[in-house]
Amino acid sequence: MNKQILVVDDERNVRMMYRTALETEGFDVTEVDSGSAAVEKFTKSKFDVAVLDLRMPEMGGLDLLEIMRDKNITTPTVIITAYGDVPNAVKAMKLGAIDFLAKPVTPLQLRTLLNEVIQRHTVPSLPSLPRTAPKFRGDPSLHLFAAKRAINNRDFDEARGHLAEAIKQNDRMIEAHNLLGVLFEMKHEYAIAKQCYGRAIAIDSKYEPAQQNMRRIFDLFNFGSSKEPVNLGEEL
Amino acid sequence: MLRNRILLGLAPIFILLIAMGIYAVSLFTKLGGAIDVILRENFRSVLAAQNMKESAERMDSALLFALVGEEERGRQLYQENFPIFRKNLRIELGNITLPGEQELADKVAQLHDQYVKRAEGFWASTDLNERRRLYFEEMLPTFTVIKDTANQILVINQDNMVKADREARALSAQSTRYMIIALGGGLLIAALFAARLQKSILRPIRALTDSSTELGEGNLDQVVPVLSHDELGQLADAFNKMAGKLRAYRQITGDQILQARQMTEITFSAFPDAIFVLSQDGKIDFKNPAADRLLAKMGKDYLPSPVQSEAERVLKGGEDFLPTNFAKALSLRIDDKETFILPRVIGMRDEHGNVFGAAVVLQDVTRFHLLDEVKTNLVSTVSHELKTPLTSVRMGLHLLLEEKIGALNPKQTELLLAAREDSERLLRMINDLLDLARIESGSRRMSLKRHSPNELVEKAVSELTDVAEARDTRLRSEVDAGLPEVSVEPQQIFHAFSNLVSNAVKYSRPGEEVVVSARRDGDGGVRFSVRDHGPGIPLQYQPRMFEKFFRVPGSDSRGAGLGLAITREIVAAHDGRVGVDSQSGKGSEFYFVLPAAETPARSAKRESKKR
Repeated sequence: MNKQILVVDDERNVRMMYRTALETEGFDVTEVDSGSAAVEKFTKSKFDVAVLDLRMPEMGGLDLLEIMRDKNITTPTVIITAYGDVPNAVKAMKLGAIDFLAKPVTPLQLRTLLNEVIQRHTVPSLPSLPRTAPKFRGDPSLHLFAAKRAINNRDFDEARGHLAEAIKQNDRMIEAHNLLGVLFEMKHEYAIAKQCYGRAIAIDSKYEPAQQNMRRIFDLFNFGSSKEPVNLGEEL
Repeated sequence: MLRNRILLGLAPIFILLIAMGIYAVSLFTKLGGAIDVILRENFRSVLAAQNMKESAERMDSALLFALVGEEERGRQLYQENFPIFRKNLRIELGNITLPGEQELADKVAQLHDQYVKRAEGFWASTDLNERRRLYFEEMLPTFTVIKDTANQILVINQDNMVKADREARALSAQSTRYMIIALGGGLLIAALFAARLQKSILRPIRALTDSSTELGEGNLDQVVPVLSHDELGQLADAFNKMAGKLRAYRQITGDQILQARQMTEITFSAFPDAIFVLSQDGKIDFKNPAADRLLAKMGKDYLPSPVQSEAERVLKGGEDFLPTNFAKALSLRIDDKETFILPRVIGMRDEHGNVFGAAVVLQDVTRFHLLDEVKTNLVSTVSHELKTPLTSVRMGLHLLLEEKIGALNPKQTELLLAAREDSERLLRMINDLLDLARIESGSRRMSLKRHSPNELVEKAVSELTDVAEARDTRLRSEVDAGLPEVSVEPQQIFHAFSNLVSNAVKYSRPGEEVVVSARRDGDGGVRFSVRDHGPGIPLQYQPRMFEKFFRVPGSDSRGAGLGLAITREIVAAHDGRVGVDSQSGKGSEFYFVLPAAETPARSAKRESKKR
């Protein structure tokens, strides 16, 4: 059976493009033009992934995520943003959202990310961490994988365990450092978060998500508020 | 006139002296003349009376001689004395000076005439008895009366002389008294005059002296009384005028100073920005109403600590703190609203350059920040609105070109490729615009760190080598030894290098070399440059190279014309400057100069202020 994708976007043309891109990849696509329509669909059918536009009239992507959390809808989401329009990512992560794509997306980008998210949620589960940590010795990228899945499921302690394990085995994993930073930031442990972003930047100074997070946390530290969104490390 | 006053003061003494002189001369003349006349006249009468007495006695004796027989001798004696008597009688008669003297003289003359008549009878008689009788009965009594009368004349004249003498003495005594009185009066007048002189000359001079002293001590409200119209009066008048002019001058300068002060105060109080004047020890000496309001809103009575530390640096002789961009604005929470304050600190220096205070201006730039945010929001809104249709366009083109939904003929493919290329270009332009807006508004968010120029250049070269190799060009670095560190956000500087290198590579021919270098700049900063051997840029376009959307006419650039503008913004955000050196046909060198990082202590301080 084909994977079920729900596309939530207020722009008809955009929905058509997404549908074409995804159907040619073998997905079954359902379109809705608003958040409220999406909520309705969620109650009727089960989807493997939902593609949400961040900015929609009346109900935006984050508002929809909030309703999904409240209604205990665990469908993983990919959020489409415009450049410079990333939501407050601590808030996004609290809602389990870590997969972002910046407009204008290409069919390839969309398919790749969707496949990754689907794979993340379909491969056999890795044993939960940290309970089994001492015994478990998997591929660090599998831990990153598991961490992301845990975040999607809003199981942040498990996510932290997997990330720590991934970094333990390969401390060159930029994305792991960055995600760990956001997790610490969620817990208001800014100093540790800053260290995490710092390590990510040390590995690759061009890694924009960590740069953005670092800037924002710098602002947060010095001046109490920031306009820089938390960057969760997906392609932007 | 003072001369007249002196003369006038002396005049009474002159007059007194002249009067006394005249008086004395007249007195002495009178005294001398009177005594002389009296003495001479009375003396003549006394002498005549005496002579008359004597000659009368001789004539008597002559008669007696005749009686005793000496006729001849008697006659002779008589004849001798008779003229003497008559002569003296005439003298006396001609020298009548006293009351009663005339009668006496007349009596003498009458008696003597009688006597002479009887003497003739005597002499005519020859009879001795007759003569005897005549003599004793007639002549001797007459003679006695004559003699007595003559004696009386003598006595009254003598008495008169005594009396005249006594009168002269009395006059003299009186004159002495008058002279003493006059002398006393003269002395009194002289004393009065001296007192008057003292009053009219010395007192004004003393008053003038006192006033001059006071004037010298700065008390300009000095008025010397003008008591007269003489030289002293003129002097006093001149003095008063001088003091008046000084007063007027002081009034004017005082007024000007007052006015200047009032102007300053009014300007300060009308100034919307908070102004503080700090004394040398960093305490607030003065603040304007805006400053009072600001402090009240902050609920503090001191400056925010970053400003205070900056002010203390300036007070210790540091350079003025005059930030030119809002990156150095402080964010304060006032009335529960975020307020941005841009501080400026200006040292107040004396003519030797010593700092004796500092002026701190806290400019409320919240409005600018809001505008900035409005602009950023506008740009992001616009970009979102642009990107949504672009998403459809671009995605549609990509999907068609994938040919998963149907095969394309070559012409269709060519058209779609061109469309995709331009959709990519459109996307780049939108992204560049967003970059620019972000850099322009977001420079305050930079976290500057010290980096060595070598590190920055090497990183740019290593990470941009791919870009260069894609165009079959080579990247090479040239870095001077011993360059100072620069305070930068490395990612931004990389962005700047990236734009310059992309351009250089674009205009280089295959096989050519692009040189990324860092050298010491004349001002002590570091000059980073990217040099190519391309066609170069005509001189007239060079000044416009960093303008937004500028493209050299005739070039087939596929860029949006924003890369260099972005580079300029990045460099400006680092307090640096950009420039280009180029010669047609010989290549171009684009460069930017960054200031050397400050001393660690200072940069740490500034770091804490950066947003």
